[in-house]
Amino acid sequence: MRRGIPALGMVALAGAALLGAGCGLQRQQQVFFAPSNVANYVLFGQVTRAGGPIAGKSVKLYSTASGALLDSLLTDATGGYGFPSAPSGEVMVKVSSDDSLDFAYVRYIFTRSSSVERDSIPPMDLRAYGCAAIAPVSGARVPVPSPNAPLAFSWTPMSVAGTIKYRARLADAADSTVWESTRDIGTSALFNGIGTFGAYAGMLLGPGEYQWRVKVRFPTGVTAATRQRPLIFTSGLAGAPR
Amino acid sequence: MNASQQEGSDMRRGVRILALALAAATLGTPDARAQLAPSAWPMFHGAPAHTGRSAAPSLPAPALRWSALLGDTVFMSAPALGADGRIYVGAMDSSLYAVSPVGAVAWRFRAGGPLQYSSPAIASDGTVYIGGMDSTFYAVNAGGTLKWKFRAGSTVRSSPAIAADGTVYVGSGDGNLYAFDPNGATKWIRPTGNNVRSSPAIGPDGTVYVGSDDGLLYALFPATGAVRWTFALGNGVDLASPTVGPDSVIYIGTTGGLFYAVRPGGTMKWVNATGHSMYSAPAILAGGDIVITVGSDVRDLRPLDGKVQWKVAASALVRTSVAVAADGTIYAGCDNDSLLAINPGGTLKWAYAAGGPVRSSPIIGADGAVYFGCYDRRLRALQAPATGVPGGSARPALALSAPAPNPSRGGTALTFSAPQGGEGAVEVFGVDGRRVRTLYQGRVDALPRAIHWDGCDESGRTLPPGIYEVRLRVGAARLVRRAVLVR
Repeated sequence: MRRGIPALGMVALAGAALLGAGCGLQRQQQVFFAPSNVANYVLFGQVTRAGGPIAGKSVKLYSTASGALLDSLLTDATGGYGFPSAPSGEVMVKVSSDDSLDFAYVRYIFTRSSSVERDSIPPMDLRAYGCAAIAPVSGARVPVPSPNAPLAFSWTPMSVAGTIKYRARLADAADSTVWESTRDIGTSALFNGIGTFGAYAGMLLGPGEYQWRVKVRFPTGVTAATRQRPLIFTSGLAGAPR
Repeated sequence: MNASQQEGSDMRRGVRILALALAAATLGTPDARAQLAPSAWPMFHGAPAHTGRSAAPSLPAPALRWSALLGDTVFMSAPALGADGRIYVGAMDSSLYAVSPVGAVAWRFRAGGPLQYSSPAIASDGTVYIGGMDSTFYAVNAGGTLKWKFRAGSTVRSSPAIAADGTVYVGSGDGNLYAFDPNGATKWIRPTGNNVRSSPAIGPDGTVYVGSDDGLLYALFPATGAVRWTFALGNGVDLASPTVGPDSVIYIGTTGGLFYAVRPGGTMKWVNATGHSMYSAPAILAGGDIVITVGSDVRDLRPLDGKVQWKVAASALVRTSVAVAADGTIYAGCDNDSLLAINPGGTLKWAYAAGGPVRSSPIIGADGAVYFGCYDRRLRALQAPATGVPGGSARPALALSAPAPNPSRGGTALTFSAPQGGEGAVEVFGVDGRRVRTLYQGRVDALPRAIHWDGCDESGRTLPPGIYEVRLRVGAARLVRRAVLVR
């Protein structure tokens, strides 16, 4: 389902004013952005690129428990959006981009205590501000890593102020997570060839096609990710003890 | 390299100069190197190898020997025992506490920040080492005064280890593992790529093992800190610490939920996917099985291939490392406000209710007493109920009844006996550890003897309301009961 918000007219409100109106924003203490007719929406926010509003951008709402797409709409001229209904439980608001200077997606996952709770989503800016995967290069062929010959992933950090944490994510060809590095402010991580997720947990990886990206976490709780990069693990001796 | 690591890097130059100066100043001094204190549990996880195993008997059931009220929460600092019988622990009020064997605070040393994670290590000369959240590593004299301190580039959450030659190893959030001489001179500094919150373990050949949040397990030469080998763990280790088991196999968990057995040459023996981030050091049972805490579980893994032999699921997170008594009984602290005792086969033996979450890893004294800190600001000593503890079963068992009535308004009665007989006394102590009254002194034998306490001190003055301890002492054995006075 796709639809716009006709003549929504967004205004940024001070959190205190909205909270003072008693509109039931219990979980979040801060209102980042709200439609002028905010009473019509239980979940609302703004999408920007490099700080400027983006009109007509698709915003999707998912249930994280089922993975189901619950709703989809387009931002208005101010980049604003508002979902008229959203269930209780953990949900995800996600915006994707194909612009090479942007993140592949920006998303926000949180838990709603009730379906009538009204939540202001932190700003979601699509620009990657220079954050990019560096090594291995796209399509690289490398020996299967091992604890004694690990593979180093590295990336450039975002050129913005504030503490931003990164992690490398390795997935199989079907995009099932194989391994994620520890989330940290650093810009590199070592993978030792042993999976940590799902069926891969504790397993030594074999040769094959994989893909990797860098995931970013902002202080607001919003996360983003660079585009996937194909990576091929080849058979071969991946290291005697150093 | 982050800002704090950069700070550490900048400091290293100065540190090296200072180290050289200190080393020069102490040249010619006879070898008075203080080694690890000869106590039952002188450092984090019991010994430099971190095996967490004690030769002392287990407690068939828990009874409170004493509890010492500290100034604030004991977070993750685990107690350590000095050769003098004192128990040392760090607390959130930025204080290192020395608590006497009978539960009285002997002294407190004030650090510049909370002693939140680091557990003390005690040297044979009584020096107590501990790291603080004020980015400082402290060496405190046996009397509670500062011996020396070292300013690291970031917090010191790591628990120090003392090697056979007296060298003290500790990690810091500045990314370094430090090696200090007992006099405070920096012997070497090993930089890593991220926080070293992990506590170093020492192998039988002196090799120093430590994990880093850079995702590597390091094996270091003790003389120089040079890297013998590294082993990529796939994730950071945070507070998880290595343990050196039989055949010098190294065991370590990670925040990514993998638990590794690494051969002494640095190759992988096996890996076990635990499913949860790990923050503790594994213990090694007498038969070689490895006991880990993960999520709310205590699990036993066999050394052959890491397969889970049994697990005990608690009702809340188990974040402590475990301590193992001679018979294989396993003690673990739990976020459900209790200390758990688990039979060697993986069944719950008993649970002792504390007043808050227990993240301070329990330790075992020479007599089998179990010590642990708690969020409720108390350091507790547990013993077996109604037995004379020191010396174990060879010593006479004591009996001291609970005071009745209790609480009392000034008159309460007890009975006491010692089946094997001996000279002894029944004395009353205040919570500050001062003796306020001697109720009986002389021969104690198998025939129970009744005694009455009127709530007064030695000179007949009425004592203020509060908690008092009535202690029966026969030879080296002791037994304590609590008496509460109300007015």
